[in-house]
Amino acid sequence: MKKIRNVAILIIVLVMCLGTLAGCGKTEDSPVVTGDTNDINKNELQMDKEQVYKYSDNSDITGLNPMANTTGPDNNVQNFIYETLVADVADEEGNGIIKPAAAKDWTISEDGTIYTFNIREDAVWNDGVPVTANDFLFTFRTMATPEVGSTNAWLFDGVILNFGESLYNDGTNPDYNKKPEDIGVKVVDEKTIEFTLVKPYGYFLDLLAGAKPVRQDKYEEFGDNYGSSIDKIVMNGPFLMESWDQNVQITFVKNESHWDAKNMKLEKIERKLIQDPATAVQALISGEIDVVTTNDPNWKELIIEDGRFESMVIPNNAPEFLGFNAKNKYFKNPKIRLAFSLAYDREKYIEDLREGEGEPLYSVMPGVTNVGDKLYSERVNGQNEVLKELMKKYPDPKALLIEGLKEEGLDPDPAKMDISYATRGTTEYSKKSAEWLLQQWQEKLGVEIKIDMIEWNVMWDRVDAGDYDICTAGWGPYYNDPNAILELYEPVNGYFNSTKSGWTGPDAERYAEILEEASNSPDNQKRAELFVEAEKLLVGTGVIAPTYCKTSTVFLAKYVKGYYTNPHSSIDYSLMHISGK
Amino acid sequence: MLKFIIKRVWYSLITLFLIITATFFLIAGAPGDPIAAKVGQMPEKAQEVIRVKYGLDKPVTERYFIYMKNLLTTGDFGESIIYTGQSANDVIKKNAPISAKVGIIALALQITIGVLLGLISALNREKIGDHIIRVWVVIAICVPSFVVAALLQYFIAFKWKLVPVFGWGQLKHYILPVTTYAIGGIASYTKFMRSSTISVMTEDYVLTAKAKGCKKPRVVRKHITRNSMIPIVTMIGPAVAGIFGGSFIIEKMFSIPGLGNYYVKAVSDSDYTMIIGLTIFFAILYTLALILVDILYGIVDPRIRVTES
Repeated sequence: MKKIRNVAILIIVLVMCLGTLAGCGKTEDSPVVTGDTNDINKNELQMDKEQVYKYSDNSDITGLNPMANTTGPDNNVQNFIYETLVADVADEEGNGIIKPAAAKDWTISEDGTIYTFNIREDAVWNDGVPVTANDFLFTFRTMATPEVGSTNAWLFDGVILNFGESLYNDGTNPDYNKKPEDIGVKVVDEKTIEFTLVKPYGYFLDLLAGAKPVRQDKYEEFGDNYGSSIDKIVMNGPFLMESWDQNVQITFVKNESHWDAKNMKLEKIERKLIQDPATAVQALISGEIDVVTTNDPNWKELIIEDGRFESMVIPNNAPEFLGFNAKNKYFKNPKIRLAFSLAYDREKYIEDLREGEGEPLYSVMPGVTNVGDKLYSERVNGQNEVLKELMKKYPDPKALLIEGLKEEGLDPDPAKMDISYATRGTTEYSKKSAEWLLQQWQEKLGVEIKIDMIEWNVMWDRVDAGDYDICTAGWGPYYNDPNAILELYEPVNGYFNSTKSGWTGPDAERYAEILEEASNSPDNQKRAELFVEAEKLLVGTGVIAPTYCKTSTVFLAKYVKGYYTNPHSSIDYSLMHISGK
Repeated sequence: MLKFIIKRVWYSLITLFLIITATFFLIAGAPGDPIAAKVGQMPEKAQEVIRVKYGLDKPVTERYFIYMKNLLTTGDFGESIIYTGQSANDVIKKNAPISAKVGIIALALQITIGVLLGLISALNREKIGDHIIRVWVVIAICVPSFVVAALLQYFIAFKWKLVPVFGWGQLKHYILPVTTYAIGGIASYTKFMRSSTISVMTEDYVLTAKAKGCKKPRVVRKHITRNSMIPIVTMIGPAVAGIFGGSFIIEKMFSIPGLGNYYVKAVSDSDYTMIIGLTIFFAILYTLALILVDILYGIVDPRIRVTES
């Protein structure tokens, strides 16, 4: 009897516990907005009273100091609160454009090397102090100071006069003997600033859009702690950061003292932190966030069924490619390299491994790449897709391979080739991808590659040392111009220089010359044509095999209007508003 | 007892020193470095500028002495290389309590419910209650926590909308993570408590107690429960240290801003200062917990105290 009583007590206690837990959930009901509770009146283009936009990211920011920002999240968050001279945003067609920001206008000298910016009279910091030319001068001088260790400074090396000479000045190299005061940035008057460039870089404005300002008095006051919390910064952006609850949420509110405040419809932006993609999708459907990016077919189906969301396919700007070590006894022959590149069925790869989502690359440049204010592929009428031409020329890659083997005096039987493929990491995807390659090349070329599963960082060490046969890489360009990708393979200064790529000889020299010529030309049309010539060498001789570019599907709540995006650019929040929630 | 504690603390200090030293050199020797993780795609020259800023251009032994000097004189674990302007101390101070809140509630539930279920199961051995509990234990131990988390999240939060899908700050945000965290633990405590109780029940002193005419509740309370708790106490030590670390997977799925997250990220980014800071923190907790277990043993079982002294 007592036993039963004990059990009964226990059960009661447990039920009570569960009861309290469940009770908590009900009594403190969350302000969940399901989107279909209000009437949606489509005829009126009227804005809701509540202009709050909520989105999520999967990683917190590392800080608010623009000198030290490194990650995508850092950049996105800082874009709200710091205003650069010019902004790189997506327009209503989704094209990346340069828009006046802290500078109301600018002039470029005829030779394309001197840029003069007029800063707005009504641009102010959030403490009421006007934004001046001095603020930008201080920002660039700070970036050029080696001790600061600014993470984005190197982008201006060789672009702004004397910039790299100051940044890399450690007192030992006579080539780098300048001081931050010597860089080609000059204050003309309080609201006018002038930049002197080494060459007429067509993408200078694009670079400038990333250089977020700091103000001298505050920067010196907070020192190393600048940007470690909200009270240790001074802001001039269209939004102000109201709270930063680490790893939970960042809240921005409209900056009423911003010069463009009257055009900004959003009052508040909440950036939530959700690491798990599945959680983010559930949060979207539950109305806790307004936008989500997912390529998972199951989740996509669920969101589409729900009907309250619009979907958009967003292309990426980072090409994926295979690299063939041109020092290798096989791959020093362009025909052999090219045969491997041509035998790779790009459409099939995307179908087999990426659920059909992606852009096959026949040029190393993703479709969204611009030269100046126009798309690269448009400027050259698609001539940049050099592989398409070559596929017609060599319909049988195996024959091309055997031809190459004979040229090198090697055994012409492809089955006897000894080649290994270094994976980029040991994830399931890397494994599947490698097996797909193995099968593909076995089928089309009769070559059986060896798969070398290696960790991501170890793989980079091996590539650095030139110790590989075939490697795979991807690259997110730092600015919107073909040069951002092509310069990687510049044989001396590029990231994949000839030590890593193994690429030497007349082709490589000619490649360097073309890039040099393009960098000296202020004429964008001419530059685009030169870039095609460069691609004919890099892609056309199979030093690399561009493979694909990712795309992602964005789902957006229908009540969010005016959302335009481009992988190179930021979202223009002044175009956005909430209607019909 | 005091002598014993002093001796234990002294050993712990030596252990801590060895852990710090070993961690420092192991991380320094591991492939990859924080600068590469931070700005890996930059030109080598530009990376060097940043390496100099963080003193990473100096030889490892010199860095070790600088680090130890700072640690001993200021107690500072050093500025994180990835999170600029924040020290590992700040991160621990801010995030450990969050992990601990979830962990302590979950641990309390695990121990109380686990011990109770274990006792019930053992006292009703081979009866229907025992069978139900045992089947449940097997399931709860076998199903990994992320599966439990996903199921709870999908049904309770997403389908039935009883609690939010994710978030932090209010009581309702605790429910799913605490439940997920607790379930596996409850099952293991139940299992251990059951087998320990069963073996204690066959001991001579239980028989003696019964023979003396002790009432059953008294036998269970005084003689059985207390003695069967010994293995549980052993398990509590490491568990206490573990609660501050949080569970990376659970924190990730429910977007809890705890420490687990930082630890994993610090390791993948090779953020030296952060890894060492966190390691020292966990090492201290662990040693403290072990000392605590030794003391608890003495309370639960006086025989242990006697042999020790």
